[in-house]
Amino acid sequence: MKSFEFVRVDTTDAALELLAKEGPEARLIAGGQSLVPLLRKRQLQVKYLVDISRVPELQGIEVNGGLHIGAATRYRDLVRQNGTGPAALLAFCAGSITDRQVRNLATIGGSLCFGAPQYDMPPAAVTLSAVMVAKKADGSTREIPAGEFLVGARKTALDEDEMLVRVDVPGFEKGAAWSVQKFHPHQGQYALAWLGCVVSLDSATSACRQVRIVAGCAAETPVLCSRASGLLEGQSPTTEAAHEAAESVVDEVEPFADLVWASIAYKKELLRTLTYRCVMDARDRALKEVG
Amino acid sequence: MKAKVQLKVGQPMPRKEDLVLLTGQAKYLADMKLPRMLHTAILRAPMGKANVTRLDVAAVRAMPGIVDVLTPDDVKGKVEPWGDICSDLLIGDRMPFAMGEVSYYGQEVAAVLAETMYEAQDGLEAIQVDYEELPAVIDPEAAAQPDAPVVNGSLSREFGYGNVFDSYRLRTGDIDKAFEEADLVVKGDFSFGGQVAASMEPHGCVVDYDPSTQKLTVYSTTQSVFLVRDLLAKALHIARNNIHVLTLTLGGGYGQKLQLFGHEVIASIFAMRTGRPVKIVLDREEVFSAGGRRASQVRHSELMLKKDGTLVGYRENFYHNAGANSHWANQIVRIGTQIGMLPYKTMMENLYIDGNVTYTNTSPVGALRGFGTPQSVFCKETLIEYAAQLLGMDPLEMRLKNSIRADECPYTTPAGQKIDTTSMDICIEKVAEASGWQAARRAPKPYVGVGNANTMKYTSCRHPAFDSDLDAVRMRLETDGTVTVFSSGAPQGQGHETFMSQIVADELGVDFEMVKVVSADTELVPWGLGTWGSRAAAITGSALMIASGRIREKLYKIAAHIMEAPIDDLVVSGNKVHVRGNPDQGMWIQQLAQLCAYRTHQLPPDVEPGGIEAIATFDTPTDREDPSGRGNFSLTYSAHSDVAKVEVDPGTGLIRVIDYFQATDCGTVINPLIVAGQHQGALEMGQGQALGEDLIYDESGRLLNGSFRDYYFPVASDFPDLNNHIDVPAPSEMSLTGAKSVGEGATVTPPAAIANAVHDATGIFMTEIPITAEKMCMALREKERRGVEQMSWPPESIWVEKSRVEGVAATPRAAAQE
Repeated sequence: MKSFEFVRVDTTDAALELLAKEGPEARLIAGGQSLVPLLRKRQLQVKYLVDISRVPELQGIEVNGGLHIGAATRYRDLVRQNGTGPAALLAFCAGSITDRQVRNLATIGGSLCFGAPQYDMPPAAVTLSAVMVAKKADGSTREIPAGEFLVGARKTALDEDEMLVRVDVPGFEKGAAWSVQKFHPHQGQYALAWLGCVVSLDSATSACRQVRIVAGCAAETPVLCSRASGLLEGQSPTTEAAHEAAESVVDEVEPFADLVWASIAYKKELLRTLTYRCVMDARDRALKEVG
Repeated sequence: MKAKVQLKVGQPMPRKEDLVLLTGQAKYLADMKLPRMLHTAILRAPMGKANVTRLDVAAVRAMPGIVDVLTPDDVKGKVEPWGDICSDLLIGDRMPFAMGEVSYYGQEVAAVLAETMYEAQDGLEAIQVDYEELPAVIDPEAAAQPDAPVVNGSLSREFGYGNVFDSYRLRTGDIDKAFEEADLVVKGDFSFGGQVAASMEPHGCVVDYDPSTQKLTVYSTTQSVFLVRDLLAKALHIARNNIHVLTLTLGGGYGQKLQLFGHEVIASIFAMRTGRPVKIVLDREEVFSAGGRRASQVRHSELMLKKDGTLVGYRENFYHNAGANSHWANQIVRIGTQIGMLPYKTMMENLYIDGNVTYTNTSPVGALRGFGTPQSVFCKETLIEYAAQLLGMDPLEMRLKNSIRADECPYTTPAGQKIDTTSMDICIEKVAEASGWQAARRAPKPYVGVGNANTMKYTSCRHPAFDSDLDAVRMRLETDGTVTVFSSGAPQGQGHETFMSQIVADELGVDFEMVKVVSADTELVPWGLGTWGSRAAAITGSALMIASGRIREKLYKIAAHIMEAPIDDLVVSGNKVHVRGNPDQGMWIQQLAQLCAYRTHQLPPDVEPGGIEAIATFDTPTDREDPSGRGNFSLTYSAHSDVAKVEVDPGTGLIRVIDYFQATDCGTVINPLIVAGQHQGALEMGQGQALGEDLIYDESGRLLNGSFRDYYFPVASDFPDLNNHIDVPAPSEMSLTGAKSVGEGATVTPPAAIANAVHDATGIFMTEIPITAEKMCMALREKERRGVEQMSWPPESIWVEKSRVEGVAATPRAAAQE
């Protein structure tokens, strides 16, 4: 680790002011679960480390039809929610990563803004059609759909002088259910493939009304598999239909080869398996919803 | 004679070591601070093979906080290359730096000394270094080919040829005759990955040099203080009595802290150049890339048997990846291979094994829990599984039928191993019963399987290179009746103080609480080899028995004289020496110790006055290898029979070990808590190597997974219940404690047991360890595509070479070894 100045701020305005002034010399830090290992290995060097972990306006989850989640809300707090629908999906995702020590420090905004391909939160946000609320030093804010937030591996749509302040998650429509399936070779390891699915069923026909299938962790950014989702919409969610959707996902996602953990061919096998399981699990849950 | 009172040996005494560890009070090397202490950091090579064409450190010296810089030029002609594990060996292929030529990723290139660790790291960044990258050799079999690039041109090659610097040949019987007479011969091509120990505590040292006395004090994380002292003395041309090596609390070793490392030599030179203490603690990538690892191997194996399942011979040609230096590699090949042939006695009548120890441009291997046996056991046990399937036999029954039996001991195997006692056959029966083997085989469930594997593991070993297998203790009965044991062991979590206290409590009749153990300090403890090879309870323990006996005899002499009692009637118990059957009378041991020290005129004339001390060394009555590779290398052998139950996810290839059973003979159990802990930890390490642990190098020799982020490392939730363990003790007649080895057996068998369970679950023989989920998944897909019941992965990696069995067709092919 190289020396840097550690600045703890109390407001987003103070943080943004530093970002505007220092440019890339300053980096925001919240839980530090991505940045600190890089700093330790000197793979990243900064002049200013701006700690936003205690900024009150970045904390907490407001439930109001949907969810409004402060960017510095910790995984621990996502896990502890007792909600259903999107809240339950986020709780599951936050609870499925690494270990308690990490979950006690890591934040939802940190995961989204660091945007490593292996992270769980970016595809979760896309699955939930979340909207990223970003703010600039002049106080202006803009909304970025989750699907457009990551533009590449570790690259976000944020400007240099802009920060994520909130994640807005719309509520589910009635009768909708979710499933998340991920694969990691051992507990604590990054997922090699991640599938999220939200399905709503027509209460009369039990056919799929809306389907949203998202593949994460296999490619550089989350992939909304619209063709696979479209294949299911209006259809009865049979095992055959789920298999068909799975084949479509395999075509729609372009995984990157990981020399240590998984070849492209293996990732495609995982996508195939997980999509099928994800769709069937979401269907079973949705059937309970429409009861 | 000892009194028959409540003995401590055999009791689950809570470990004396635990309180300080559990309360965070233990002092580790990283905690050490000395006045005026400096910090060193090492520049390491970023590729497998290269010429260093430029190394300019001028800019570093001008930087703030920098005290000194060390380059290859500074050590050339001054530091003597050191050999693998002991002084006076032929092999001296190790220097503190790459001497002009880099031969592995992570090799030391230069070092910086600074006031703080951070300044030292800043200094590394200012070193100007250019490399001319050269083609690297990663695969040990490729490295052995005549046209392979030379791994390290600067090595002197006193024996061996090309990159093969040593080989081990084991021959018994007549292999051609065995092949001729066999009804079935099965062959396989196997490979095995390079696991690392990943001890919680990384390697490191603090070196303090006193210019006035020219004495070097080395606080090391080593498992053998005398090994470090003697090798360091030789490398730096210092008298051995002017180097003091000691350890603090060690956070794990597992064999990988059993060398003199480059960083220890570098820190010593810096300390001598500056007259100030020097510290280094390696980071995790340094430990992964240069801290030792298990030798990856490529093996071509061939099992010969009769129709009735009697094994009649075994032929093998294999390549053992030593890495770029020779540390331990030739020892591992000998011991791991020869011991790995146990326990199948008729198979051992005809052995023909060639082990080639080859240099590659990868991290030098070190010792690691299991020491070459996991690899040899895996190949052999997989071929037995295959043969049993072809013959329609139960593989466990087939193993039992061929195993050495308890009732035929003492038994000398055709390879020369002297089995004093064993419960090998009983272990197989018990593990089958406990695991519900028969029921599981009768009613198979899809993608769930059971697998068995067996081994008889060494208990320490006479290492072929240095012809010694000893350890030593010195004991002092203090004048308050407490006992201090000075042990040459270097405990890393094995509970030496606890088990030694139990033994001393029984042997001297003192309270368990009154015994203290001092370890791993060259100025305090007698000369010994240290702690590795599951040797403490049997070897160090035997030395402790001898020393205790000497102290007891002296106490009896004094007590007999004063009490005017016949010496043969005396016993020890309750901190007293007393006449048998009369524990209320007699003399306190404390009194006797005081008499010997302070009232010397009361002593009998033939008793030497002074502190009551004894020193004892136990060297095992074992053999060196004979020209055919045979010999009794180990004092005694501990039986180990495992059954793994796995469940394979056909969608992802993920293998879950859902249950694991072990039945073992570790001889006399001194402390069941410690034994259970050893079996648990060994199983975890065994499961890790079976299912994923492996250092991965790319073609240029770059290490791709030198961190816990990238290295497969199972955690608690990945393991089954670790408590399904049955002790079947057959006390050793060779060790004075009756103990055999414990702590490595369950690292040896899991790759084989788990692979066999995977076969039972899927019909696929997995011949590459680790069996990653990816390999499993791809194998399952290929099996579906082919529409077959049985296959191997990689495809056709096992086959029938010869068959006289009805319904079994031979599909011989030109094997790679020919």
